[in-house]
Amino acid sequence: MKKLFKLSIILLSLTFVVSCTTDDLDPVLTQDKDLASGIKNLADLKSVLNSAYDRLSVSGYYGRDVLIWGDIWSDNAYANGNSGRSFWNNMEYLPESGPSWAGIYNVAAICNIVIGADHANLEGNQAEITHVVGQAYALRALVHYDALRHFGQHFVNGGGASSLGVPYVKTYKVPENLAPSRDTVAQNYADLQADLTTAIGNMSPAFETGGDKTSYMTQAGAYAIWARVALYGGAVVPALYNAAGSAAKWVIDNSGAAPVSASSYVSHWSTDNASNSLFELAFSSTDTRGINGMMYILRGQAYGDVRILTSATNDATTAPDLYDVYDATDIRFSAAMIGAERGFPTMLGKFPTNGGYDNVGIIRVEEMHLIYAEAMLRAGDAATAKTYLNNIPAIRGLGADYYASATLANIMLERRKEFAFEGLRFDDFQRMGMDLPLVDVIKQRNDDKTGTPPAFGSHRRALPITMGEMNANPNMVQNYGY
Amino acid sequence: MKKFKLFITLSFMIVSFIGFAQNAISGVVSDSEGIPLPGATVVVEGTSNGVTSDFDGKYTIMANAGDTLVFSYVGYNNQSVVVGTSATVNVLLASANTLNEVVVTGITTQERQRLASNIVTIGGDKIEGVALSSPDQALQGRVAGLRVNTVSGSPGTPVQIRIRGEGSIAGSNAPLFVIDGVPMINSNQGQMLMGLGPLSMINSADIESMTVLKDGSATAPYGARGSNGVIVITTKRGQAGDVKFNFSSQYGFQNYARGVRKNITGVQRLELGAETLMNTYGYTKTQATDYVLANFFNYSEWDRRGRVDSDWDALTRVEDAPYQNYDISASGGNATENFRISLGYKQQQGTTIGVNFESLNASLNFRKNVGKLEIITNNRFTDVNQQGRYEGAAYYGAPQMARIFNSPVNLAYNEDGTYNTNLVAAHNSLFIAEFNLEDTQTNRWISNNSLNYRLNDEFKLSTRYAVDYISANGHRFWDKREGDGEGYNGYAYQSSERSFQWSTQTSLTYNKEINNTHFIQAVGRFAYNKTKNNFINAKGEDVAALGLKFVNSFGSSQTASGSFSDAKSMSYLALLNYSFKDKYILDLSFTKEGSSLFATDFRWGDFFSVASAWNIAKENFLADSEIISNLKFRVSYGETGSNGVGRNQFQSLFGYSGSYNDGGTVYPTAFGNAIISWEKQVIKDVGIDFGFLNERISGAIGYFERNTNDLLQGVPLSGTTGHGSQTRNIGAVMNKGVEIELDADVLKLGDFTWNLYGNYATLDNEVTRLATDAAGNDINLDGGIQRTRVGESIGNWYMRHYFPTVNPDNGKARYYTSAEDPTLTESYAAASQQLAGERIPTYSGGLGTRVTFRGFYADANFYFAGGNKVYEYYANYTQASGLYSTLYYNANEILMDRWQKPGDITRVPKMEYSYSSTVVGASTSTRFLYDADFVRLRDVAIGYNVPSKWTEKAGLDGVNIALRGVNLWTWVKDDNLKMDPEMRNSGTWTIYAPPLKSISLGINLKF
Repeated sequence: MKKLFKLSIILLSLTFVVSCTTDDLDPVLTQDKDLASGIKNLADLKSVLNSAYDRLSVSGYYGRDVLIWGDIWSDNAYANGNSGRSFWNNMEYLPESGPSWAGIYNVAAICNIVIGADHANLEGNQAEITHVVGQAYALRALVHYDALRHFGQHFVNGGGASSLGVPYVKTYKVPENLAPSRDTVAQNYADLQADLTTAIGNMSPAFETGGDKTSYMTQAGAYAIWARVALYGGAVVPALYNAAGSAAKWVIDNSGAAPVSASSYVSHWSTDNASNSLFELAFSSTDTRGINGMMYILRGQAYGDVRILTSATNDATTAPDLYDVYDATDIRFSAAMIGAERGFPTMLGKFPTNGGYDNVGIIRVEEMHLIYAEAMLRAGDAATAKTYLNNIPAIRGLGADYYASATLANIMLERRKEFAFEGLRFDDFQRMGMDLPLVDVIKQRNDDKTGTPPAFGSHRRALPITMGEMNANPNMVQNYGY
Repeated sequence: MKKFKLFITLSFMIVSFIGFAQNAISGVVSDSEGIPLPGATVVVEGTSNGVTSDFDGKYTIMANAGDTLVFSYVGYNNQSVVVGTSATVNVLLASANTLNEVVVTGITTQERQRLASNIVTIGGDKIEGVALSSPDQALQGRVAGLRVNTVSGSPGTPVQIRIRGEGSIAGSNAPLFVIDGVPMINSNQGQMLMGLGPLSMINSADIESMTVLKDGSATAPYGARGSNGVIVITTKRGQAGDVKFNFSSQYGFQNYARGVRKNITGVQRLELGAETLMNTYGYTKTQATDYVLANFFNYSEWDRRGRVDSDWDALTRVEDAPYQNYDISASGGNATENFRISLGYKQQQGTTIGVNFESLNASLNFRKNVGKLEIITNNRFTDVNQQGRYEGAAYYGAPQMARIFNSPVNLAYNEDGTYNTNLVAAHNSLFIAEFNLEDTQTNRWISNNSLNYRLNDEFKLSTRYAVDYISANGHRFWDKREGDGEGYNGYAYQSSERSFQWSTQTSLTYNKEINNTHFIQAVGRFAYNKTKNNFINAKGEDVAALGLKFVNSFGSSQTASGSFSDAKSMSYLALLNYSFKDKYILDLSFTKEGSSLFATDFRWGDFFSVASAWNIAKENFLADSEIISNLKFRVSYGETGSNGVGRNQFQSLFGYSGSYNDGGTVYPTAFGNAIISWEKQVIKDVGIDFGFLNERISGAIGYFERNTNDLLQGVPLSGTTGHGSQTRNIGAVMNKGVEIELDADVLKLGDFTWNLYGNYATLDNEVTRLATDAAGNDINLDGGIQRTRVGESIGNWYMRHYFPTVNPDNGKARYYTSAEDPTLTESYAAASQQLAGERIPTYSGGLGTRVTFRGFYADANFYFAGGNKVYEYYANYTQASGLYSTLYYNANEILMDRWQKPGDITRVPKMEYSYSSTVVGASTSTRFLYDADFVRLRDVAIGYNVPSKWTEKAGLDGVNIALRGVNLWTWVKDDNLKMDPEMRNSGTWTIYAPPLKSISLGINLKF
C-alpha cells in the first residue's frame, strides 16, 4: 500500500515536471522557414525565383487561361463549356466573378523578394547572383505587361498613354505600398522599359547553359519580351515600334535560336526547349496541371472545351476561320496539327503529349522575325519588312516570296497562321485598333447573337477590377463601363 | 414519498433489535411507483460483497445484521439500509429526477440542483440503436441551440455541429469534443474526397451519455477551446454485481430521405433541345428535331437503339441499402473492482453505388480500488474501412454527379452489354464504381488512464494520462481503361497519416460539506496537451497490366511527399463551486492557457467565469408548495477563447512544397502577423429552471449573449501584394437568442404514460465590427454569392433578385435592377447584387413524444429549423434553358415548365440555343435561393420489452424488440426547394449523397 502511494505521488509530480515554460510551446517548423532567415545564399535565391516560374505555370496563368483567352476572344477559337470551365468567351465580365489579377501579382511578389534581398551579403558567386536578380527584373516586367494588357484602359473609350494602367509593384510587404493606386499607361511603359533594361544588363549568357536554359529567363528572352511589349505599346506610344524592331533584331542576330524547319515542325511541339525557343515554362510529370492544363482543355477525353471556331456559312473573305487561312500544303495545317477530335475541329499538334507534360512556350524566335518586319514596315522600310515576313512561310515550306508585299494585313495574317492557339491573336486586334470579326453566329459567344462582337474601344475588351480588390484597396479605381 | 419515509423509519426501528448472524437477505428493489428495477446493484458497504437484482427486481445477498446495504441504480438516488433482524429488505429507490441527477462536465461531476449553468445531457438510450454512422448525429433536435448539419448521406462522413450560432468568420466554429475528460482529435480523417468523421470511430453502444456545455460558466474552464461549446462524452463503465451480458443486433434499410427531384427523359430532352433551335433560329419543329437527332451528342445512337433511356438516377442509386450493427458487452465486478468489455461491428452500405462502410470496435474498461487509491483504465480500439467515391463537387466519375448530370441518351452500356466508355462530359461512373478505388482505412486507439488518490474525506489527488492515436491510410486507384486513369494509363495513390495526441492532467479536488449547510467543491488542475501529425503519400502512373492497384506497380512518374506538423498547449485551472443550503450557488473559475499557435509574447490567455444561482423553491415560502417543485434563477458570465486558426499564422514563412523544372521552389506562404492572439469571447446567460407538480412538468428558459471579439480574420489585402489576406485579430460578432426546454408527463393512467418534450431556440447573429482600410471604411467581405458586412449576419446571401416569373411576352428572365431601383431588367449585367436573405438559421428546435403502456413504448422526435435560405450550386447545369441542359448535361423536370408561347406565366425562361447561363437566366440569382424552413421526423421507434415471466424460461434477463425509423417524413416550406433541406453549414447545396432515411429492426438481449 505504501509502495502504491509512493508510486502515485511520483507519477503526479512527474506531470508537473513536464515542460511548463512558454518556450516549450514553440512549434516545430519542418516544412516552412521563417522569411527573415530564409535566403542565405545563391541557391536559396534561385529556389525563391523558381517559385516565380512555378506561379507563372498555374492554370489561371500561362498554364492555361491566359493563353486560351488570346484565342477565344478572337476569331480562332471558342469554348463550348463542355467541362464547365469558364473562360468568359462571351466577354461579359462581372467584377464579382471575373478573373483576378492576384495570380499575376503573386509572381511579382516573388520577383520583388529576389530583387529586394540583401545581395551583397549572400554567399555565392556575385556575378551569378546579379544574373538571377536580372531574371527577376525580366519576369517582373513580363507579369506587369500581362496585367496592363488585360486591365489597362489604353484601348478603351479613347484610352491612350495617359489613361489608367496598372499598379507597378516594386516592393514586397513595404507598408506604404500595400494599397497602391493605378499608374498611367505611359508610366507603366517607362517602368517596363527600365526593368527590362536592368534585366538585360544584369544577365549574362555565361550563366545560360544547359539544354533547358530556355525554361528560365535569359538575356535573349528579356530582349524578346521587350520586343513583344514594345510592339504592343507602339499602338499607344509610337516611338516604341523602333525599340521593338531593334530588340527583335538583336534576338535574331545574337540569340542562337532559329526557326524550325518544315520537316521537324510537327515533332518540335513535343520537344522541350526546342531550337526556336526563347522562353518557355517547364512542365513534366511532376509539374503538370493535369485536367486543368492546356492538353485537357484542347482535346482531353470528356474535356476539350476549347475548339477551333469554324463556320460553313461565313464569308471567308471578310471573316475567315482558321481553316480558311492556310494553304493546303502548309505544314501548320497538316493532319497532325489541325484536325478533328470527337467530331470537333481541334488544335491537335500543339501540346500533343498526354497528361499535360509538354512545356508551354511563352515566346519563340519566329515572332521576332514578324515583329522586326512590322517595325521596319512602320519605319518605312517595306523591303526589309518583306524579307523578314517571308522568312516564316519560307521555312514552313511554302516557298520564297510567299507574300508579294509586306502590309500590316499580311503580317497579321502570318501571325495568325504561325501563332494560332498561342494566345497572341486578341492582342493583335487590340493593337491594330480593329473590331472583332463575326465568324459563326451560333458557336461564337461574344456576339450576343446580335452579330456584333464588342467593337474596338468597348469596355468589354478590358477586364474589370475585381470586387475583392475594390473592397480591399481604397486607392483602386474601377475600369470604365463596370 | 410518504411510503418511502415510513419504510426508512421502519428500517431504522428494526435496527434496534438486531442480531449478529450472517443471514441471507432478500427483497425487491423497485422505484417509487413500485415498478421493479432489474439490474440494480446491492453492495454490503465496505466489502466486495455485491449482487444485482434480477429482472423482477429481486435480489439475495449474504449479510450480517448491522451491515449497511447500499442500493444503487442508474438514474435513481442511492439508498443505504442497515440490516436488521428481518431477512427481507424491500427498497423503494427515489428517481433521481432532474434535480438530483449527476451531471458530468468533463472536469467535475455535480448534482444538477447545484449547477448555475444550463447543461443538457443526452442519455445513451437516445444514441444507441439509431441507425446512424456516428453518435454525434443523434444530437440533432435534442438540445436547444445545437444544430447538426448533415453534409453527406454517405456512411461515416463527418457532420458539422454548431452550438449557439457562429462566433467566428474565418476560424473554426466546431465545438470541442471531450471523451472521458480528455479533449479528443476532432478533424476529418478521410484521406480521399469522401470525408470520414472522427466520431464514426466511437461506438455508440459504448456511450453512457453526451453532455452539452453552452454557457460561459461551463465552457470557460476549457479556455481557448471552449468558445464554440463543448460536448462531453462519457463512456459506459462496469457495474458491480454478477457478470451480465448484453447483446444487441440491428438490421435495416436505407434510402434517400427526400428523393422528389426527377430528371427528364430522353424524349423530353429531345423536345427541349429542338426548342432551342426553334426559338433562337426559327427552325420548324421537324427541322429542329432532325437537327438534334443528327448533331447533338449521342442522340443518333439512342434513336437507333430504340430510344431506351439510361436512367442514371436509378443506375447510380442503391435502393434499400442494408445497415447492420451488432454489439456485445460484458460487465461485472464488486465494490472494489469492476470491468466492462465490449465488441461491436457495424456495416453500412452506401446509397451510392460503390460505397460501403465497416467498423469494428473493441473496448475495455477496468477499475480497481486499493484502499484510498482508485485505478481506472479505459481503452478502445476501432478499425474502420470506408470504401468511398468522389463527392463534394462536380467530379467526372462521381456517381452522385452522374445521377444528376448525365443525360439519358448518354447510354451506360454498349449493345454487347459492356460499359460504354464514350460518354459526353462524364466518365462512366458504373465502370468507376466497379473498378476504381477511393478507400480510407483507419485505426484509432484511445487509452485513458487515471489514478485517483483520496487523501482524506475532503481532498482527492488525480492524475490522468491519455493518448488518442489515429492511423489513416488512403488508397486511390484509377483503372486505365476509363475515366481519370485513361490520361495516365492507370494511376495509383497511397497515403498514410498518423495523428497522435498526448494529454496529461493533474488535479487536486476538494469536497466539503459542513452541517448540511455549506457545500464546497474546488478543483485545481494542470493540463498539458501535445499533438503531432505525420503525413506521407506517393503516387505513380502507367501500369502494365490490369488488376494491379498499388503504387509500386505504377512505375512512371512516381512521386512521394511528406509533411509534419505539431501543436502544444498547456493550461492551469482553478474552479470553485459553493452552495449554501442548496439555495444560493456560486461558481467561479479561472483558466490560464498557452498555445503554440501564437507568437511568443501572445501565447498566454486568461479566462474567467462567474455564475450564480438562486434555488427559490428551497426558500421557506415555497418549500411546502405542492405545485412548484423547482424554481431556480441563474445568471452566468464567462470568457473563453478560440484558437481555431491555421498553424504558424503569426510567422512570415517560406514554404517549400512546390517544384519547377524538377528544382525546389521557395515561396512566401503567409503574410504574417507577429501580434495575433486568441479570439476572445464573452458569454452571458440569464435563465430560469422550473419544475411543477413534483417535476411532472419541468423545463428551462434562458437568454444568452455571445460576443466574440478580436476575431481571427483573414483581412483581405490588395491582390497586388502577392497575398490574398493577412490574419489579424480584428472584428466582432454577436450571437444572441432565447432557449427554451420543456418536458411534461402529460398523462399517467395506470400503466399508460404519455410524455412530451421539446426545445426551441432563436438565434440572432450579427457582425458588429470588421477591419477598416486606410481611409477608415469597413473592408466588406463581399463575394459573388454572399457577403459579410457590419450590422448583418455572417455570410448573408448577396445576389441578383430574380423576378418570380419570366416576361410573358418573350420568355426572358427578369431581374430587379438594384435595391434602389426596383424596375425590372432583362439584362443580367445591368442588374446589381442585393442582399437576399440570411444563411444562418434564426430558429431551430425539437419536439418529441413518448407513449408507454406496460412493455410497449412508442417514441417520435421531430426536428425543425429555418428562417434562413439555402442556395443551389450547379443549377446552371441542370436548370439552364439552353445547351448545358440539352446538349451536354441533363435537366431536372423543373425545366419542363419553361415558357413556350406569349402569355405563359412561369418561373422558367424559354429555351434558347446558347451556352451562356446568363442568356438563359441560369446565372447566380435568387431563382436558385430557397427558403430553408423544414420539419423532419428525425427519429421514430416502436418497441416492446418482453415480460420477464416469458424471458426467464429462456434463461434471459431481458428482451427488447424495437422498430426504428430515421428521417421518415419531411416537410419543407418552399415548393421550389426540391432537394433535401438539410445541408452543410455553408448553406450551399452541392453534389453529395443526399441525407438518408432508414428503417431498422433491433433486438436486445440481456443475460
